[in-house]
Amino acid sequence: MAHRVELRISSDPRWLRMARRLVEEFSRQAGFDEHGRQEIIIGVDEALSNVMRHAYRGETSGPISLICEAEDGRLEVVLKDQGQAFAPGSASLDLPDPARLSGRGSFLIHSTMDEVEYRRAGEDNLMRLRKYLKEPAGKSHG
Amino acid sequence: MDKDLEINIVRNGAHSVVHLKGDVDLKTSPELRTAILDLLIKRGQERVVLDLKGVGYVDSSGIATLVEGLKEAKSRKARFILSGVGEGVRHVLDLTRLTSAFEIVKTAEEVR
Repeated sequence: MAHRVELRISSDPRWLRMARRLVEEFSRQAGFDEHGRQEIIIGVDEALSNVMRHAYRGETSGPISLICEAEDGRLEVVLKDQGQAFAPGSASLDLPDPARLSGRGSFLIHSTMDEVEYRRAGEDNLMRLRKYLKEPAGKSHG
Repeated sequence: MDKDLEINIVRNGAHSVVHLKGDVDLKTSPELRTAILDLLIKRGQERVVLDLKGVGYVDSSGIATLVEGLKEAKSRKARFILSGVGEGVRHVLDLTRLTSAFEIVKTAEEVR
């Protein structure tokens, strides 16, 4: 049976903690163990922070929808916002030098989630993050 | 009102312990950054221990704050130490391959 929860917040970082708690409980109900839940929290929190920091450039009243869906061992989180379009290639997916202060957010999103997709739909940014209870074939950690 | 991150600083001469309770994220990391840089730059502390026992989550902005504290301390020949690192914090440090970059101890009390 599919489950779905939607949270609508403004782009104010004060809501990050609440979003993490929602995602943790949703992923627990979807059957993820503590390690899996931590990874989902990290991936979603970093994606949400990116929307606040980059799409809305720190402006705190932009609308954000966070939609969680779970079905058949798959958890999907969609983030929808109306901020600046994300320029593919503008964020490095590589881990920066240990002495660098920034640049780890996108790396964390991609290293914690199984699939990450971004698209622009009209005036909306849509980011889709997926994690599977069993990892799909070909995906390995190293 | 319940604060998202409580920061309590215990100073003893040139040594400080910064006790944290809450999450270090995009909202709270600027305040932590100010506290750490104040101890190292304005107060010239020779040793700063960041007690993370009460911290359940650190995001990439929190990691940036820790890296900045470490860099600032090194440039002043001061020590910047993490203590009480729990599973949630360790997970992010491991993912970003920064665990070995920091001096990490179990408890703030054992630092000599």
